[in-house]
This record gives sequence, C-alpha cells and structure tokens, in this order.
Amino acid sequence: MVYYPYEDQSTELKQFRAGELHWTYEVPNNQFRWLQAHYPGELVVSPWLGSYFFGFNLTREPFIDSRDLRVALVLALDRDLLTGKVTQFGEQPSYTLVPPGIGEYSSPQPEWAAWSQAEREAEAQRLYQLAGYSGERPLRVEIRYNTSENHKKIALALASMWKQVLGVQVTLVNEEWKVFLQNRQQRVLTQVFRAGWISDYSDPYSFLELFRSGHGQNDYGFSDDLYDQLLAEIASERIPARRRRLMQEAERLLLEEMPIIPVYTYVTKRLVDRHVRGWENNVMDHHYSKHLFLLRSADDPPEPGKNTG
Amino acid sequence: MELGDVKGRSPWEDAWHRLLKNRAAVTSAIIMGVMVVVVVLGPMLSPWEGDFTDWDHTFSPPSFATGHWFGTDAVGRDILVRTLEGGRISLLVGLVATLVSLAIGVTYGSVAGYYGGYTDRVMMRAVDIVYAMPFMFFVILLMVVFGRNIFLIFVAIGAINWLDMARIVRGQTLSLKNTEFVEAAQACGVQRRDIIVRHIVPNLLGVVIVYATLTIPQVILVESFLSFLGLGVQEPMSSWGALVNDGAQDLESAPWTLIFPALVLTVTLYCFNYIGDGLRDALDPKDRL
Amino acid sequence: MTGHAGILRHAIQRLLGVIPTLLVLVTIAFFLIRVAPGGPFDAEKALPAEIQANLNVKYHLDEPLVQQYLRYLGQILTFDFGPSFQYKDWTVNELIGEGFPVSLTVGGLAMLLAFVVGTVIGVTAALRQNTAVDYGSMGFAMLGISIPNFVIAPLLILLFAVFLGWLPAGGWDWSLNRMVLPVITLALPVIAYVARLTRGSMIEVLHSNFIRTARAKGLPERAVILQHALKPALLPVISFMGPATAGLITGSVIVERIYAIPGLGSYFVQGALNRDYTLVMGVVIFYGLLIILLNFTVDMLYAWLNPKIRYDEKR
Repeated sequence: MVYYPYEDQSTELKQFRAGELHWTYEVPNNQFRWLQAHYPGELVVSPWLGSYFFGFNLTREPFIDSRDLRVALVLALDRDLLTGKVTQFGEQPSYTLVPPGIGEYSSPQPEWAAWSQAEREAEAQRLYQLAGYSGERPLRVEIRYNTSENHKKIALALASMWKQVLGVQVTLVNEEWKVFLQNRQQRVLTQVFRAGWISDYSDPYSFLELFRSGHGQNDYGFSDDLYDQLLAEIASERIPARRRRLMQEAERLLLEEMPIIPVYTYVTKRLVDRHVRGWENNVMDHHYSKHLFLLRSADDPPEPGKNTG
Repeated sequence: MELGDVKGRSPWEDAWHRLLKNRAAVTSAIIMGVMVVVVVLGPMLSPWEGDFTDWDHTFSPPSFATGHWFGTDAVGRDILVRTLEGGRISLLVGLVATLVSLAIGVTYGSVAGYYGGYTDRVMMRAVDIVYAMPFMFFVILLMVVFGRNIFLIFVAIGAINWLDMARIVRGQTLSLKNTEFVEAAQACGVQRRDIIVRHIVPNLLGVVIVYATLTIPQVILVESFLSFLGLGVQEPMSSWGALVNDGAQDLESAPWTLIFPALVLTVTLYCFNYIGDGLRDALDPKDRL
Repeated sequence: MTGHAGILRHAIQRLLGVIPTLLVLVTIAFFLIRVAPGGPFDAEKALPAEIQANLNVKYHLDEPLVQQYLRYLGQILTFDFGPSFQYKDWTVNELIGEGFPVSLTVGGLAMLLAFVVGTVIGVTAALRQNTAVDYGSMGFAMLGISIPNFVIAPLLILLFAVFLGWLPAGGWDWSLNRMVLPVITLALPVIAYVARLTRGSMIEVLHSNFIRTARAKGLPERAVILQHALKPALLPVISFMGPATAGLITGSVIVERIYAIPGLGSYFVQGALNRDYTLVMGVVIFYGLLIILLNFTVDMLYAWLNPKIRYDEKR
C-alpha cells in the first residue's frame, strides 16, 4: 500500500481518473454535480465528526456584550442555501456546536432551528435593529479566513447573505495559515473568523472544552464561570447518562451566549475505486489498511502490481 | 538647389509611419484600446454587481436567459463583471508596477551611465548582485511577510523589473555618448543642449517605451502567478490571474469559469507583446529581440 | 591587453563578486522570513509553553536575532544548512539532495527541448521571412509567451492523461512518460522566447556582409546557414540561458505543484508557508548560487564564442 502526498485536489482527482490511485483523500469542492454524474459508483460521501463554524472575538468591538447582534448574524445565515448551493456535498446544516453521531448524545437544538428561514431573517432584522444598527448605520465587520477554496466560498456566501438580509458591510480578509493562527490566538485583530473542529475522539467534551476560560484554543475569548464549572463536573462524572446531561447543559449555555456561528457538519468526500473492498464509512474517518483489499473483478481486472494510495 | 525647401522628417515621424504599417501592432493597439474602455466602463453598465451572489444560478453556464452572458461562479457571481473588474486590477498592476520599475530603472541607469567611471562600476556591481537573486522567491517571501496588499504587489513586482531597465538605459546612455551621429553633430557645432534633446533623449525614450510595453505583460503574468499560489489580491477584488486559477480548478465541470478570463488574459498579453514588438521595429529597426 | 587575459581577469572579478552577492542574499532572506508573523512550531493546538521554550532553546530561536544571524553565517560556511523544522528527521541538505535532482531533471530536459525546438523554429522562420510560415510560427511562439503555464498544464493533463490516456496525469517515479507533460509545460514559454530570439538574430546575420560574401563565393545555401550563419545567430540565445534558467526555476514552482512532482520548488513554497526557516534559507541560497554559477558560465561561454567582446573598462 502506497500513500502519496498531494497539495492539490484537482491533481489528486486527475490521478484517480487516470487509474493511478484507488482512493482519494478528498475531491475538489466545486464538483459535486459533475462527480455524481460521472462517478456515481465511486463517489463516497459520509458524515464526519466535525463542525464547521465561524467564531466571534468576544474581547473586541463590536462583539463585547452584544448577544443580540451575534444572534442576528447567526440567524441571517441561510444554511440550507449554503449547503445546497455552495458546498453541495450533502453537508448537514448545523445549529449547534457538537455534530451528530456521537453515541447517544444529542445536542440541545435552539428554538430557531425549527423555524423557516423567513422567520429567522425577520428575527435577525429585529435583533439587528435592537443592537443599534440600521440601513443608515450599518455594521462594518471583517471576516477572516485562511487560504482555501472552500473557506473562501463560504466566507463569500456569509458576507453576501449578511449584506442581503441585514445590510452589513463586510470586508473579507484572507490570510495564510500561520498568520491566521497567530491573529486568532492574539485576539487583537480578529472580529469574525473561520473556525471549526474535527474531533480526535468520539466525545462531545472534545468540542465543549475549546470554550473553557484560558483554554489554549479559546480564540473566542469566551469566559463563563458556570460553564467552566460544568466542564469540571463533566470531567469527573462517571455515569454516562448524567455526564451526557451535563454536557447538554453546557452546550445549551454556550448556544445561549452564541460565541460561534454554526454552519454545517463536515462530510468526508472522496472517490473509492470499485475494486476496493473492506471499506467502511465511519464518523471518525478511520480506515485501517489491514481491512482493505482489492477485488480482481470480472468486468475489469486490475493490472497486477498496481499500488493503492 | 534650394536646400531650404527639403523638409526633414523627424525620427519620431519615421517611427510613427513604420508603426502604422505594422498591421499586427495596430490591430493589437485597437483591441487593447477597446479592452481598456470596456474594462473601465463595463462594470458600471452591467446589471450585476461584482460581489452579488445570485443564489438561483450558482455555477450556471453562459446564457442570455439568466442574464449571465459568461455564466456564474461557485457562489453565483457573474463571470462577465468579475472578468471586467479583474481586468481593472490586472491592467492597473501592469501599469503601476511598470511605472515603478521604469522610475527606478531609468533614474538608476541614466545616473550610472552619465557619471560613468567609478560610480558606474559600483552601481552596476550592485545591480549584478541583486540580479543573481532568485527573485520570485523574494516576492513570495514578501507576500508571506506583509500579507496580501495590492500596493505591495505593485512595489514588489516593480522592484523585480527595474534591473533590466537600469541595464538597458545605462548601456544606451553610454553608447549614445560615443555614437557617430552625436560626434557628427558635435563636429558640426550643434549645441550640447540640442544634441541631448534631439539625439540622446529620443533614442533613450524609444528603448524605454519599447521595454515598458514589453514589461506590462510580464508584470500581469507575475501577478497571475502570485494569484495562482494564493498570494494575490484580496476577495472580493479579483484579477485575471485569480479568476484563471479559480477556473482551472473546475475546468471540466464549469469550463466557462476558466475560458473567459483565460481568453481575455491571453489576448491582452498577446496584444501587449505585439505592440511592444511593433514599437521596437518602428523605433529601432536594427535591433530585434 | 590580449583577449584571453581580459577574459581571465573578468572571470576572477566575477568569482570574487559571488561573495557579496551571497551575503546580501543570505541577509535579506534571513531577516525577511524571521519578520513573518508566526513561527515554525505554531499549530492550531498550541504547544505547552515549556515545550515551546525547550524547542526555542534547542534551535537557538531564543537568542537575539543578530546572534542567530551570525551563528547561521558560521554554519553555512561549512555548507551545513541545518535541520528542517517541518520535515522531522530531515536536514535541509538531505531535502535539497532529494528535491534538486528531480527539479534538475525536469528543468534540464525542458531547457534542452526548448533550445532544440526553439532554434529550429526560429531558423525556419528567418529563412522564410515574411511568409505564412514565418507569421504562423511567430504567432505560435507569441502564444507560448502569452498563455500562462497554469492554464496550459491542466489542458495538457485533460487531453493526454484523461481523454486519450496516453500519459500519466502526474506523480513522479523517474520514468520517462511521467516527465513528458511537465517538461513540455515548462519548455513552452522558453521555446517561444528562443524561437523569437533566433529568428531576430538570424535575420540580422543573414543580412550581414560575411554571409553575402559566402553566398557570392557560391557556397550551397545549406552550408552558408549551418557553417556560417548559425553560430553567430545563436549568440543572443546563449546569453538568454541565464534569465531562462531563472524563469524555469520560477515555473517549476507551478509545474511541480500541478503535476505533484516532489521537486525543490514545492519545498520552497511549503517551507515559506510553514515558516521552516532553515529550509527556506537553504533553498534560497542554493538557487542563488545556482543562478550565479549559470550566469557566470553563460558569460564565459559568450566571451569564448564571440571574439569581438572585450572585457575592459568600458563594460
């Protein structure tokens, strides 16, 4: 089994199509319709244990003590439109921090998760006014994201929806990874920034702990005594059902304060050759080489000595 | 014989006539003229704004029915307007960066050539030193250090190109000082000021104009190269290079996102190169690249 | 002064010039990459402060910048570029040793192809000046200059790898069929420049007195071209080799990325983005040295081929 490194998804795809790879790590973000039409048997899309969201910098204007504004911005994003028209791979719109698929845990859904988008937008406009902004006095804000085709598209969509629904004036700031990380951590320049978390292990705690006061990745500047206390209890709680309830309580508290803009639940999307067997989709996206094998199919016998990767 | 009636044509008139005879250059100049007008005025006439996302038509192919003549991109932005707006940036980068390199190069080169001797040697050794640097690497480093900033792009790219300009101007100044026609003019007792104005400057200017015209497409290419590496201008601003880079990702599924910007970029580079060639043939018929 | 002594003196002068050039190169690159925000060990999951501090001590990143700079200068005197920050267990020397042969192969083949094809096109166009052949080939050459290689590369891959299936789409295993597309992509703009240069100088040479003399002597046209005209006509092409190489190095960054070739160009971009200080410095110095040596060789070759050139005060 050979693994090849690729910097470019298009290159990886072309290699696959030229028959040189048996499975790809990713596929280009824009090509769902095309891939579905041309590789329906090979395209494998499956939920992933990761949440895509944006963060607010709560330590800097305009987001200090501005729950109304934050919620307005969260509501103005049309997630169905975004996942349907822009990301397209069947990402699930998300209204919470923790993605579905972790054991028996289910996130507490906020009230507006069940609303129609029109209702959400009406409420967004109300809250936007309440926060003191209007057409004459629009919010001016920067969205920061690190260099990536996908992040760019989503940031563009977010900016456009905010403009169309609320009249927010958005400046997009694209930074390369190291600069982006530094700015996020320093919390001096950031206002709204791309975030997201793909968990290393199947536990909501992995997501929730990011918002503990003083946590190394708490780039939001979120700090809440009750929340910290709940996290401490979760860490020492042994009974699964009670631990779940505590975690739900913590997530509810977090969504109440809304330091993030939930967008969608990640999916893994790749092409897997039809000769590959032993492939099992799972939310952790773990695929053990020892379980995989190549079928010498009757219709299309694979060449001997070909490598997978 | 009445000498007084013979009207001498200035070298510039000669050059102009030669240029007009060059059909490729004239055609290119006309195309570029039209291009500049369309790029400057087009976005104002379009029903679409460059950053408007038409959610009903994401990735839609070119069509008169949807109003997107060149189609739309992944978030439903009109490719035609984006291409025109990108053209503003690309042409602006081409122009400004060329002016930067011109300003530095001409000053540096003419000073070195004019003073000559020790000054010249030191200045040219400095150019030699800088010349040996892997320049693209420095531009990449600069973009990494200072982030994506359009003014930096101007300066960074301009700073690459001034070296050639400086060498050419210096060489030209140096050789013009010793040419037969300058010596002849001196021998005829023509005043020094007239020699400079009538002989040295026009000859220098010709080279500068030719070189500048050929620098513009190079600069546009460098900018698109940076955009390809993801180090170009900031969204929602765009440039042809950035658009081509986006389009190349979806070559098959949405070929229109590549074809229109790539075509416009290629035509522009093509035209500038032909104009530059034409100017060179016209201004300096002996020297062909 | 005799010509040979002049060349020799010039050669020594140029070689001495290498030292300040390299010093400037090292200095600018060193401070530029250090000024860049973020460090080599920054990651989304921040390292504990103690580990960060230990790493800094280990790699002397805790010392004042000037001291680090002097340390680095001392280090590269022994041609030791140090360990890479990003590629664990690799020294920069090893990475260059891995990447450069690949880049050199692709670049060298592209250069060879460009000079052979470019010269042929240029000479053909010059011999049929102002005919359809001339306009056609020069128009084609102009296209080579005007289409960016990141447009050509995907088109070539689509055509030859995906639709026709004749060649692999990318990757690298030192086999010839994987080299074809990258080499062509890299060579196309150089072919165009060489063709234009050759055509221009060939036309000029063909109009010169000694060619007229050769023709007047009744020499066959073939002999006139090959034995008399070609050598002087190629002089500008040879002096173009320096800039062409620099262009190839730049182009290789893109070509290596699109074709997934593990060459030095892709190491550089990744190194710069990862703040892999030592790798970036190593590649910059290495390529700087390469460009200097190439310019020097071209210079000497030019002087050797063209007896008219004298390197003295006037240069």
